[in-house]
Amino acid sequence: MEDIRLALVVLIPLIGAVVSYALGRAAPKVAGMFATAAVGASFAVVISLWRALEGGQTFSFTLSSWMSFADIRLPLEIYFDKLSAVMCLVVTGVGSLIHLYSIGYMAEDESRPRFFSYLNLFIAAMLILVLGKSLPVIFIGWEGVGLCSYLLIGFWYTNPEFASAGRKAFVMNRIGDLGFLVAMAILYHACGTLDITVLSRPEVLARIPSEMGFVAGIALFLAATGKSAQLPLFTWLPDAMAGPTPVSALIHAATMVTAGIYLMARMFGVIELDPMVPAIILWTAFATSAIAAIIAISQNDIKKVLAYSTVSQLGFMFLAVGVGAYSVALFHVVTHAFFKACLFMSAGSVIHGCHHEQDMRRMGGLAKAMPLTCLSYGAATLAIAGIAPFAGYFSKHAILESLAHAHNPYLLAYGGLIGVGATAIAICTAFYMTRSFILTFLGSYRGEGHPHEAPMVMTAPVMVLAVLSVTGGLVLNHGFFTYLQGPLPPVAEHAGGGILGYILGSVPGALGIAAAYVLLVIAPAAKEQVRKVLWLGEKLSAGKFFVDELLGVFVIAPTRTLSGVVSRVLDQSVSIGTGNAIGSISRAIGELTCRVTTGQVSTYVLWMFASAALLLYCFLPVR
Amino acid sequence: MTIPWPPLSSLIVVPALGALGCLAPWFSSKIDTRARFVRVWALGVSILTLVILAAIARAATMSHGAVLGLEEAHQWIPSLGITYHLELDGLSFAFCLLTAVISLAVIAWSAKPASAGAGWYALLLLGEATVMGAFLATDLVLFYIFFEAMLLPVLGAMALWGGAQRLNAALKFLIYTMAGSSLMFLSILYLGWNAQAMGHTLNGNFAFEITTLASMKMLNPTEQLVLGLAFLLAFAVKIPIVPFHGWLPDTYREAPHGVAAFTAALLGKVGIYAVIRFMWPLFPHFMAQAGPYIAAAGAVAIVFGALVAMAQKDLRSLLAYSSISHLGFCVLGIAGVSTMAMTGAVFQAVSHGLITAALFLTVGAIIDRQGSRDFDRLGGLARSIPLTAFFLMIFSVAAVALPLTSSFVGEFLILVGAWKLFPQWTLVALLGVVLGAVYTLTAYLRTMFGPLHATDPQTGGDIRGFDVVVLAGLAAAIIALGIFPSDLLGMISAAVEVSAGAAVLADNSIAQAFSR
Repeated sequence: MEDIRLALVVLIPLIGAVVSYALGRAAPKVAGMFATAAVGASFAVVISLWRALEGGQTFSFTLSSWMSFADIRLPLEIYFDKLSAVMCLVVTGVGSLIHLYSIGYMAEDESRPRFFSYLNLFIAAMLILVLGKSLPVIFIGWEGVGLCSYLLIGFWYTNPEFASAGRKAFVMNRIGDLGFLVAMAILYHACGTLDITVLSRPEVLARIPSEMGFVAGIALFLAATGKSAQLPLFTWLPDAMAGPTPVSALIHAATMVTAGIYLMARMFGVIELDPMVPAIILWTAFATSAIAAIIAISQNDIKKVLAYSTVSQLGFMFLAVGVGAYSVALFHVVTHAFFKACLFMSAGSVIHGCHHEQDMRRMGGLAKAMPLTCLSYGAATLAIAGIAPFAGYFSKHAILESLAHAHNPYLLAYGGLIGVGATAIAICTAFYMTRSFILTFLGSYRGEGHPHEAPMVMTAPVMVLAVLSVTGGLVLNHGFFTYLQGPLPPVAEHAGGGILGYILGSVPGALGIAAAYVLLVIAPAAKEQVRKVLWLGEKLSAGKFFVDELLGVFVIAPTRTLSGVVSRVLDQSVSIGTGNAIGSISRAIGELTCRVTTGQVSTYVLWMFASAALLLYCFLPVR
Repeated sequence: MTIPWPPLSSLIVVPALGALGCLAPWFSSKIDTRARFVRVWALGVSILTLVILAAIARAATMSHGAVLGLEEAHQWIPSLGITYHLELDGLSFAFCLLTAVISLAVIAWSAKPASAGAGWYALLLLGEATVMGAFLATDLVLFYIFFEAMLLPVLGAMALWGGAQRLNAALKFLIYTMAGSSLMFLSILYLGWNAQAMGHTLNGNFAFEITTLASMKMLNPTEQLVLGLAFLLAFAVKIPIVPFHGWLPDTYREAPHGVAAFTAALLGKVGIYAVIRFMWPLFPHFMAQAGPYIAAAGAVAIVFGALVAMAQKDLRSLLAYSSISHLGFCVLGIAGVSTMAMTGAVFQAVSHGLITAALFLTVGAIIDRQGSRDFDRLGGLARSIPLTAFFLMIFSVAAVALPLTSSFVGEFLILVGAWKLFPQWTLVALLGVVLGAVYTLTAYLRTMFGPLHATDPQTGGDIRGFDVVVLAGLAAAIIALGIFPSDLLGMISAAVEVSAGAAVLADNSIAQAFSR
């Protein structure tokens, strides 16, 4: 059904981006309020659309005929179903809270209008991403959020390191985009369309040749690894922390980085064409999640801890994708959006309160100075640790449970191993998050400044998210999976319930929390012992598994060398050199001719006779 | 279909007369009045040309639906069978529109060499007239005349107002293109003679008109190979396809900003256009066989140009090599019979024209005001010249083909269209997508971001006045074509199918060549 409201959802933040910049030039204070209002209005429209969804009904709206010509149909059309609804609600809901928070966080920055303009633009792009009716339209959003991410990471562009971090994010995402483009090419030629509603039909997918099915699936996953920071393309996300903290909360935790999971869920028919693809997803996700969790343990920058934690949690979502439990992955997307946005914004309040200090070694004891922030950070920590009945418990538990039901011919007997490993990662998660909580809020203050609580405009949205982190899982647990059963395949019902189930399910989280508390508070001396035993782990963790270094040696340096060689040898010497050489030779011949044409008649006569003699010798039968 | 008024010739005649008109007040004694008059006059002429083109297109679409197919034919040298034959179909229209817009933008751009007076505008209008002619002519001899004539204004402007190495660069440019096109001229003569020898022409004369020649199908594969290679060489130099690009870096580095923008945006496009207009109908067999090689050349050019661009430290050189890379997509698109890819190639050519001209002008403004074109001497300009930074961001984003800019439409159609015919070369081409992001963002980073360079002579401020209008207009065109490309795509594809598709699909040997 065509519905103009759908266009409004995207257009309001888009207009907001332009107007908040223009208004902001005149009165910087207005920019933030206007931008927040725009996202809020978009949220309201999304709610009205969501409430209008009944049964299998969907809405769509065509914005332009776009690349439709001859017999090619590629319109710019957006589409709203239950899956889009979930994503839109998160994007605009959490988005408006983060906008509100940003008014306080950016209050002293002179480039506020630019900031809020980018932020609104991001919301618009993200909405196109989750509303696109065809892969090219999704790709508009896909690239749009990438651009906004680039602009916002490098928001404080006078620092060349920040600007470079933005470029790194963009380029790494571009590598993933190759996969997106390849997948579109394959699917277009095999199925004759890129419309996702058509591409989900089994009879259409059956037209894809089997060997191409594998390539298309892997290509889509490559796209997802770029956007959702999975191996080997995850190192841009920690660097992306160069951006202002609300950006980290919105783009690099709650929304954009989950686009890869959304894409996998949307295109699950393609992903499952070849069972090898889910197997590869599963192993990649596991490795990413484990590596990121281990790295997070040794980080001292509060934002870096959260960044690696995000990578790790995204890996968790991909674990669910790998076993075909897409709605479970989406569930973790939602709860993660709550607690990770809450964590980032609390961290932002801490950074704000400690005068732009991000190193946890110079924090401590902040529970007294900023009790509200401590409370929200603590609640979100319990949520991410997976303690019942906090939000993270339900989604994480659902993932672990779906891993147990995994059936994939390529996993052989190792399927169970991933389940055990994932539980270990959950313990690890609880450990490093508790560590960050202890370092920041407990003990005594180790910095020089005078930490203070954030203003209301910042604490209020954080408290809302804290409440959602506490209750979100419990509320959504019932009905979330059945709600998504239209667009996504059904998942096995969970046994989960009961007090005993809650207690048992919280054990990994509790273990991690206890370990952190023991090592950091009760018996700090034991820490050195543990370090000695786990020296290899510590080296790898501190060195961030040397992924950046490996990429540098095996990808960046060779490309740079190649660029130099091609430029100097192939271009300057061979291509242009040959052209120049031909020119020089011609000139030499010309100069030779000049020497011959002396202008003296006697010379010419001599040449004439000589040539005549030569001709006579050649052609006359002298014999 | 022929229409009486305004005739297609007006697209050539108006700017040509306008060029003459620029010289009219040469004898006026007041220099100030003269300069202002000539500028207004040239602006008026280029706007008029654009209006005429729009009027013709509108009149044709009003009476004949979406597809344009206007012709204008006169006898010219009957004894040699040379005709004055112009045609405006979707293919020509796309390029003529580009020519009119770019000429207007370059003429309106305020910065020009200090010593340039009326001659600057005269040469630009002459350039517009000749390029228009090349995009309209369907008689091969007429096309050849325009093809060579369009060099003169560019070379003239370069030799008069270029950089330190201008004469060397101009000479190189001239020799390269002449060397490339001389064999084409011989081939054209052979084609005309052959038509007569086979007795296919109406009055027993030579024939050079493309539809007449193409409908004969009298060329055997060997002839197609020899003549096709000769044509290809000419266009390979003009586009240029690696390794025939030796003239390009010097030309783009030495030409004045406006001329560089004009050259980069328009001259190479004639090569792209001519392959579709002339080579596919004339040498279908050769093109089918050469297709994979052309596709390979395109893909290699994409990666090659991008790699070399990455190593550049000079803004203008970087633009030159990025141009090679972006045009590689067009070459990939015209290599095979796929309406999608070929339409995409034409669209990409138009889009690249707009973007590259905008980039040359913007970068020119930066170079003029900062007094340097070297990355190591630039930096942090986003704070001091925010408006320029804003436009450079838009054009950079368009250059890396982000969706909703025109270049995404072109590249997407080319990549998806070519995938079916040449998947391996499409994969190679895709690498260029990543490398393109690297060098474009690096260039932006080095000029606009980071701390402001202390030694910068902060002579000039931000762009202002008319120049803002020019850049905003180009940006609007790039984005409008990125969101609403379907009308233009429809026009192009209809013409492309007639020009290449029909000729090729009718030929059974081609189908076999493809099945092999």
